[in-house]
Amino acid sequence: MFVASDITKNYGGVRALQDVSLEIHPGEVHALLGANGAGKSTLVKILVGAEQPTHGTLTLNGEEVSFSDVGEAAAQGIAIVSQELNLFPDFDVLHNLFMLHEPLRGGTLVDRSKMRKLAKPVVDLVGLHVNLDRKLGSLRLGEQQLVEIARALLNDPKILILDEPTSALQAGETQRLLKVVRSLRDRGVGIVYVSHFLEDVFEIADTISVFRNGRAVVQRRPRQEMTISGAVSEMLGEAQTRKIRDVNVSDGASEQVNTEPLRIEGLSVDYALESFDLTAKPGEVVGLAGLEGSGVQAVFDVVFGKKSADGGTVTLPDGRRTPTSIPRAVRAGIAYVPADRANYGVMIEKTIYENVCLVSGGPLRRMGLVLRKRQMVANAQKWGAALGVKMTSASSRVNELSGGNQQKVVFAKWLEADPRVVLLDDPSRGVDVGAKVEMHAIIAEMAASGRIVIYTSSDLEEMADICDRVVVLFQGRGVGELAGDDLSEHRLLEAINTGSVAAPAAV
Amino acid sequence: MADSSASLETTGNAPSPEGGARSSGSSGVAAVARKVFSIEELGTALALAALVAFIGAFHGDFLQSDVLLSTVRTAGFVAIAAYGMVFLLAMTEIDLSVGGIYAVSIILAAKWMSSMDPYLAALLAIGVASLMGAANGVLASLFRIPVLIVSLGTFSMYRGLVTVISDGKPVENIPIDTSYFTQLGNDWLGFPVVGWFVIGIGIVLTIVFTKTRFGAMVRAVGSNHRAAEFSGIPAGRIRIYALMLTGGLCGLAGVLSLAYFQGADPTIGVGFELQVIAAAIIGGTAVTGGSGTVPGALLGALIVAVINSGLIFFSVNSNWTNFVTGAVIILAVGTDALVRRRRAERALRVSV
Repeated sequence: MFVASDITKNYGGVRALQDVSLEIHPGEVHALLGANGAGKSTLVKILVGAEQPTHGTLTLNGEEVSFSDVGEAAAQGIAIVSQELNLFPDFDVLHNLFMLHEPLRGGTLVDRSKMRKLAKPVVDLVGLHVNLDRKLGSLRLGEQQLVEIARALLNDPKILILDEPTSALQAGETQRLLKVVRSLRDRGVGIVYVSHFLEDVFEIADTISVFRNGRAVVQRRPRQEMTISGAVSEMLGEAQTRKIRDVNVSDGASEQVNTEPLRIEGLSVDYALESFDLTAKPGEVVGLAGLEGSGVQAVFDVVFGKKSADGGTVTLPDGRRTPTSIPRAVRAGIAYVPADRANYGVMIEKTIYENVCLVSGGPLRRMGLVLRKRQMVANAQKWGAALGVKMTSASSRVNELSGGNQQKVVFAKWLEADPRVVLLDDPSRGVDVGAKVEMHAIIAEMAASGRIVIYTSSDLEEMADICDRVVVLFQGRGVGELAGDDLSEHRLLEAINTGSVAAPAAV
Repeated sequence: MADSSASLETTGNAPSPEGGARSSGSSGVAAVARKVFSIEELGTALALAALVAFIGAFHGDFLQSDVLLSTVRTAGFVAIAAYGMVFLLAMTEIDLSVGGIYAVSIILAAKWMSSMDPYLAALLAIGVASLMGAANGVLASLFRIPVLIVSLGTFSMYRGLVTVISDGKPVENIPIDTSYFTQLGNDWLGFPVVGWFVIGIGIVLTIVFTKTRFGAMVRAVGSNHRAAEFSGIPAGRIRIYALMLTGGLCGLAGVLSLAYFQGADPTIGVGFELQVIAAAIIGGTAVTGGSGTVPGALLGALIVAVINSGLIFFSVNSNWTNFVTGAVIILAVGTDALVRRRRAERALRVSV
């Protein structure tokens, strides 16, 4: 039995886990549930030695243990299949299975025929039907996932931690994996199963723990005593019905940016999206909700010209077709506020005015050959005042600002370019509550002036608040839409996890 | 061929006995053919043969054995160092200081030879060369900066050392009538001694690179640095070993060239690093890391040498040498990248 007792983990000043305990019994599938940021991943990292707890202890079969890295945990029979594949694309499948554990001939040469022999049963077990001499990088993501699982099994683990193991698998492969998990359990392996796919969890788990805000709110309760809808309620906790969407949407203000809608018809991207339709009218805030790999990112990428579509069309409000590159998309009036602000949103070492005035499709085009600093500063100051950026001056560096104010600079940058379509990818990530509210007002204002706003967020509550309607994507397809009274955090969470927007049966 | 087999194996979840059988062992003519045609170096070898044939067609003299052998000798010094560069490129690192290490080992060995046994002096010089290589790795780990940047500095430092040690003058009193020079600088069984070294070391390093755990770790770090660390590969230490190996190989190339040229001029080895990096890259080792080819580096070194002597045969001003070498690098890397992308796209399409 592997036990984690009273684990607390702080990252700097942020408490990711607080006094969490977890028991992993042999022959039991223990599922961990929780919304993003609830602390599941942190706990998993501590269990496998990738992170060390701030307080608390790990006990393996009655003896206290501590792991300084993943290797030490692996030596004790604790294996992990993680969501980010730890594989080597330039090596063939066979070598990936044995990396660092290669059987050697004469103590030096890698013994491939022995590897092949050892791999056979495990490869068959997980259902990996590929030529083992193929380069890993040429495999589909789902097949790579199976390689990762097979690699973990080769070390004959006593404890196996599966962190989102099915996120890249197709339905058939998922069933196969669940079967493998069951057979391992029957052989006495203790399994921790972390997944967003609630239906899989309820199919496979013996016991369930639910995390919220770094605490375990449900501790190892037998599955039979829980329901999907009940689990979702535990993941969300209190305060799920509060709404703050009362920002006045001043209709028909001065001049509307768009009169025509943004039309997405039959949009397909290989391996990511299948014939997706969406019409977003001027003034609308349309949400796209879905898990990682659901296709939401693909929609954003195609509309912003980052990826090319493999089928279907995007018709911009001015009648133009799918932009084929990012510069073209920007010139066509598409703005993109990315989730990864520090890397893609701002030039963090540069001044505010440089950030605000550097969108090539917008202000730079109007400035002629030589940049006029005074005008740039004036523009930045104007936007700073309009959006309430707390800054000493427009010449301050962006890295002196708080997260929320940095994000406002990103908004200012795009507003300066006067976009027709605004894509918002998790804009409030790492932004404090006050700035969040202000940001919602900015989004509402952008919509009121006739811009089309497409929005996604990992914060489903926020999404339910600020979107007029939310289209749900699941495994690359649009599966329906929630609006009005149906649009709640609870319904969204259930929809993105089950792929169905139907109302839950009355409990 | 690859396409048809790939499509067979990816029939989703339906059990596919063919796939299993194929993976458990390959035999027969088809397997042999696949092995031969999948040799990555084949394209490079064909390019080399075409180049030699082209020059020979216009200038028959080029195909005379002594001309070819002298080309092999020139290529040999570069190839030995380029073997090490393959290990570094596979880790997504580049060492710019190889020319400096090469020159220091020549000057040091030449100096020491006047007062001690030449073979011992050569071995000591190789030892110093490995330490200079390792120093690059230690500095890179210490300051957490790429080897490229460290070696930009040590490149200049090592060249500076050459001037200091030699006092800016060719080294004197080199015992050129000892067996070190008469044997190592000469031919053995009608083939330059350096050529034998190139072949022997090439075979050993090919095995080290492809068949040992050290080689696998080198490639793993370049293939997916994060996964390598997660798997417990000591990336910093492996990098120091690889740099040490490269340094030692540069030292060996240096003392062998000393044996042949029988002189140590402080300007020796200027531009050596360009040739070494070019040889590895032209040979088919991608700068994106994760893979590489030791035999390819030899072919690459030969291509560089053949082009250089070809320019002389076509009476092109030797000032153009660097220009042409650079152009060939771009050509080689460009085609390689195109082919890779095409192949990756096809694999993606096939696998669904």
